[in-house]
Amino acid sequence: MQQRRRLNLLAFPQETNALFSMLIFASIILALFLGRAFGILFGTPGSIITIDTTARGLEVTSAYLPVICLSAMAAVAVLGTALIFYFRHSSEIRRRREIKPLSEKDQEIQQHANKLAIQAGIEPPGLEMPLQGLRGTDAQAFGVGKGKIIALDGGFRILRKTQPDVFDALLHHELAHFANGDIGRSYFSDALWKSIQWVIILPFVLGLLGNVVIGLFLGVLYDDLLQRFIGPAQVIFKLLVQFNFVLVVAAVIWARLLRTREFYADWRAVLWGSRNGLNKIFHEQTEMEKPKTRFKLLKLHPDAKERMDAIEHPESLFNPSLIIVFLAGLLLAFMFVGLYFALSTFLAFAGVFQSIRDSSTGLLYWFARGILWFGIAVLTLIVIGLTGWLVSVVLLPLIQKQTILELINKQRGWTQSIKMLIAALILVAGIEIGFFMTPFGPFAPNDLWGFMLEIFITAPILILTAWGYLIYIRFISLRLSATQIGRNFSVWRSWFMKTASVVWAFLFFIPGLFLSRYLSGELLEVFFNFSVIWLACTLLISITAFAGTWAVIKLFFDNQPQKCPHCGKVTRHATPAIELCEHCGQVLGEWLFVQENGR
Amino acid sequence: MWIDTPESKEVVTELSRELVAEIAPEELELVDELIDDYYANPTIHETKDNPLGFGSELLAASTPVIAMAIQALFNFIVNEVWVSAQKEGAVLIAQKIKALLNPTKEKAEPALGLTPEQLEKAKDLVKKEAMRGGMKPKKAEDLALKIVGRIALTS
Repeated sequence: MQQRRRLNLLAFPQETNALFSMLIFASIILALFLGRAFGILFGTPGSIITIDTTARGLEVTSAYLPVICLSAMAAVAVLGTALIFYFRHSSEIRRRREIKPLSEKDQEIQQHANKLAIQAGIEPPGLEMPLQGLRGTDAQAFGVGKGKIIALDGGFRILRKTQPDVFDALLHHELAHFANGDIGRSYFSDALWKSIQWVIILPFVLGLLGNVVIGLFLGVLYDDLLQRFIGPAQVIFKLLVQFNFVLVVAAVIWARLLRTREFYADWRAVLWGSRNGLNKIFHEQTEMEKPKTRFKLLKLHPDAKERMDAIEHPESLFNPSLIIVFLAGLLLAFMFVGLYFALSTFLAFAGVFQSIRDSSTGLLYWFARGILWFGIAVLTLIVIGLTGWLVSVVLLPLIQKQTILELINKQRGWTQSIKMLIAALILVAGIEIGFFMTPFGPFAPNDLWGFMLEIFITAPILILTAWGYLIYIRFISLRLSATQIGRNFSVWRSWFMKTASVVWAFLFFIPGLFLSRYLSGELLEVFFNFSVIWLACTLLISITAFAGTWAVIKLFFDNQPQKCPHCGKVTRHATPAIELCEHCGQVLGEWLFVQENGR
Repeated sequence: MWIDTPESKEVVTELSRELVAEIAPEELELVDELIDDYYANPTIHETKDNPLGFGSELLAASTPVIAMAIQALFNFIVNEVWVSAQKEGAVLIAQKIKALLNPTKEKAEPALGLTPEQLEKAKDLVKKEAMRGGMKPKKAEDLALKIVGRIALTS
């Protein structure tokens, strides 16, 4: 047995966690979309801000109530249906694969799997196979809650005898899915995607088709109705494009989640000693695989070659994914639009309060008014929370992994920070496209002047501020990661990094993003003034914040000489996390590396 | 037709065993079991695109693929070369095929030759069939050469 040092992929939160949350968020956006789309079919105007809600009182509320209810019902239905699909996945797999718990003659396979699981330190799963047959080598881990099952094809009966290393590799890979906590995430994501198809796509397509057919039918009979039908056709077409875009975004997230989990499972299987077995499988597969022309973003499984490369060069999994950065930008835009619609909803209810004031005592009016503002505050906090989550869970780990890669590859200097400009560009591109592609695009410019302003003024400023954020995060991550030694990453360092990241984002990036959405219309002057003040503050205070952060790190985290956790002697390495102790030769940053069992 | 007879099955099993010994010796002990499984369900194992499965399927055993390729070769020989011989008895055909593919053991039997073009066709057919069954191109080529080599030797 030989051991080698590998970068610990699990030193940082799994990318699948972030993707899972992103998928749920995108599904809810799609559900809200459905409500808005039906709102159009019901004849409700696209933007509530254009309506004088207080003047029209209950009329507005009654018009919007169905849309609000439908949106909420669609969101609940999507998640509820997904839950049903999720709980049914075990029986569905058993039915499709025609598998049963292992019979007496296959008990040796179960015993071997138990041995592998115990060696890997996880609870032995149940195995299920077709009762007869010696074909196929696919394996699939599944189960709800604590029920852990691995489905095997009949060919495993042969593999165990003829290619035991391959047999072990396949089992290790499936066991790794349990160890990585993939099962719930993967199957719920799969269920969510099925649920979207039934609860969102089907009603949307049927509603749209019904509207077109009825409109055309009535248009043939009555000329004036034809005009009324052609009128909103442009809006409906735009809605269709936007709907498809959000749908593709959800599909891309789903596909990426499924692909990413395979890399993580392969990585863990290699740690358990299955490098050769996996390489054998992938090598054979690369010889068989024909070049696929399928759009890579929607691929549900990584290619054998990609998997083989990731096994040989696991550091490649630390490369920041620009797709994730782009998706983060899109979701940020969706959050802002979500807040806008939520506020619109409350404004719609303002009509009710107007009526109440007319017909009730002052006390009841103020009580109702209190509920209104409480709702607005809660929604704002939700959006702030979601934005904070996006920054801490999606963007921060990406940059952290990038800095580790820089440390390992000894890439220093400003060129790395300059490269971050690309990520900033992609993030802002995601935000801008997100604003265009959310229902009705309330925050997208609606004339040529607005468009030019967005492209040549707002977007470049946003890119620069996003770049500032990324450079800042890279700086903190580099300082704190490079000097972290020992078995675990310090909780304090982690907390400091997250707090600094969120504070910077909310002080110097999000306000600019928010203000830039209102640089048109009646309040242009007010928002323009605020924007200038924010930009000036960002330029001045951000430099101070940078210096302050450096001082805090020096004072609290780098104030003492670093001692080797093995021999206790002081190490003089500038970046001890990636070095071996000069006295005892042991790994200093154990949190960053794992030992691989070789065979 | 002859290829559906027990005699044909016997020849396929016998030839498969000999080829497995050369191509996949680790399966030698399991040949009978694998051939039985092949005859129980002679269709190719379809690799389903299962997004939640392992994602990369490999060939569990070469024996069924070898049997399938031999079966396809028999079809070819029976249909294209020995159409006239269909009138002969199944046992006689079995002996002739055995002789064609195994010159050392069946020297007493009269051997029927194939033209170089037919041999080339037979090689392509075996290779294609083996690859369809999931065998790697190089291994499939090797199998095809081994089978066609036997026929060529007899011819």
